[in-house]
Amino acid sequence: MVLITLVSSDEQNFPVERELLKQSGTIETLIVNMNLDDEDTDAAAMPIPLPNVKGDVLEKVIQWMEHHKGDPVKEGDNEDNNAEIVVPQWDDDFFKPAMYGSKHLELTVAASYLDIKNLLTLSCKAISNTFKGKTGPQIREEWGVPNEFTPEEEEAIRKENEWSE
Amino acid sequence: MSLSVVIDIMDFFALPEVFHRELLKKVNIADRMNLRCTCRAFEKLVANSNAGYYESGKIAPTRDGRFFSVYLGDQQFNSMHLSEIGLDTFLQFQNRLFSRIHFNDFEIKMSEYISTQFIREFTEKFAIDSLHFSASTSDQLYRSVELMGDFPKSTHNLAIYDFAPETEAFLMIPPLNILQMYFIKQGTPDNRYEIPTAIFMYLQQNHSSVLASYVRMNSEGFLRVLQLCSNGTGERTIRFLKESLMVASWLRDYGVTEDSIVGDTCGEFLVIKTNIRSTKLRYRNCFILFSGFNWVDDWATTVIVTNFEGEQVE
Repeated sequence: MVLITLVSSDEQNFPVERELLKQSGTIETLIVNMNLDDEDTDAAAMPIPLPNVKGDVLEKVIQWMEHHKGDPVKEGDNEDNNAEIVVPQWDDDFFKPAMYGSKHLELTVAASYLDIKNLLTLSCKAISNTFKGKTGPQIREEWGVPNEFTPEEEEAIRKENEWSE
Repeated sequence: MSLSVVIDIMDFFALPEVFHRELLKKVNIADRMNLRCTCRAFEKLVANSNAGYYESGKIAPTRDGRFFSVYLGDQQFNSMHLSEIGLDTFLQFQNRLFSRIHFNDFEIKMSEYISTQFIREFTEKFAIDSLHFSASTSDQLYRSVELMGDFPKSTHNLAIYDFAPETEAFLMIPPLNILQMYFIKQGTPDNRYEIPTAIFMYLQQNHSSVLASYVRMNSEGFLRVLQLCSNGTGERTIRFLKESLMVASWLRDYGVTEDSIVGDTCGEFLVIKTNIRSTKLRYRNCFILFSGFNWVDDWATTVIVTNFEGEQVE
């Protein structure tokens, strides 16, 4: 089993199975550019620095990739990534503890930076699910957003929404 | 989960734009409506983001022409006044819900009260895979054809109902995936409108599927229709109504009778199935189902012809 070492911004080393890293477009490009797949290259001696990802976040990303080992890798921007996507139970449990916290934000930003499309999709969907069926005031409370609308503005929005069933 | 419990709440708006784009694409229309009530930043984000992909959508006037309804994926909007003000107000509202939306199917039921200009503005932010128009007047038909040109990447379908277009109107319809024509209300069996054979044959060559009510046709004409269908490129479907006694007369002309059984060949026709309610034949590449067919009763038979083998659905 070929291991490739990832180095986080706080200089923690994470030896990771080569196969797992195919899920990350960014790391895959680096592996190709650094010739790490060549038999003559000593991959273990050439760690990949990831200056935009902290160790605790990278650890979570690797944990997610391990669980999704072998899943088809999504490519390109797919408009089908929409409201119908279902977050599997394992992923829901994975995201839940830090759902509203900055750790989830960092994980999502890391997914974007590392170009792990499935993780980005599921992470975004998990957040969008927190809006599901909630009223404006409920979303405000959950996300700690102050109410900027005047009562008149709120009434105008409420009236517009009356068209819907 | 309340603010008092969560101390470390993420700053949602500190996220990169790519994240907002991805996230908002996964928020359905109903939740977008609630989200825009939250704060000005969310209101702006909702208005300027892609609402993602939905299976279907529709705009249709009510029967009395006083109101109109819009279906956008999961959400239905009703009782909007069908007036210039009503349409403009809805347009402004829609502009606050997304900057882009993608539909697999979108249906536009044309109305004399909904202008072409409004439909253009209404669909400006839409990507549509399959676009359906319904037209019940000549003007609506012409405007439907005009609007099809605005969506060159979409496949087009058209339903014409309650009026019989002039021949030139039939001829100007661009190639469609499905052309449906329902003229049942045009009259009694004695004076109802039947599509002339020549026009029907022109239509069947230009559109993948032609679904009609009654067609004026004799056995020779139907044979010609079958030959055209058999030679047609791609999958072709034809469906129309014909009196059972007329169908019985055609079949006798081809050598198929009440006594024919499965496996019999009559010229180029092969009997595939026959029972009290339907008869199925094969002619060259065509499969022909006479559904609801009876040799003695003069009720309506649905004639379905395809140039591919598969279930023939009425």
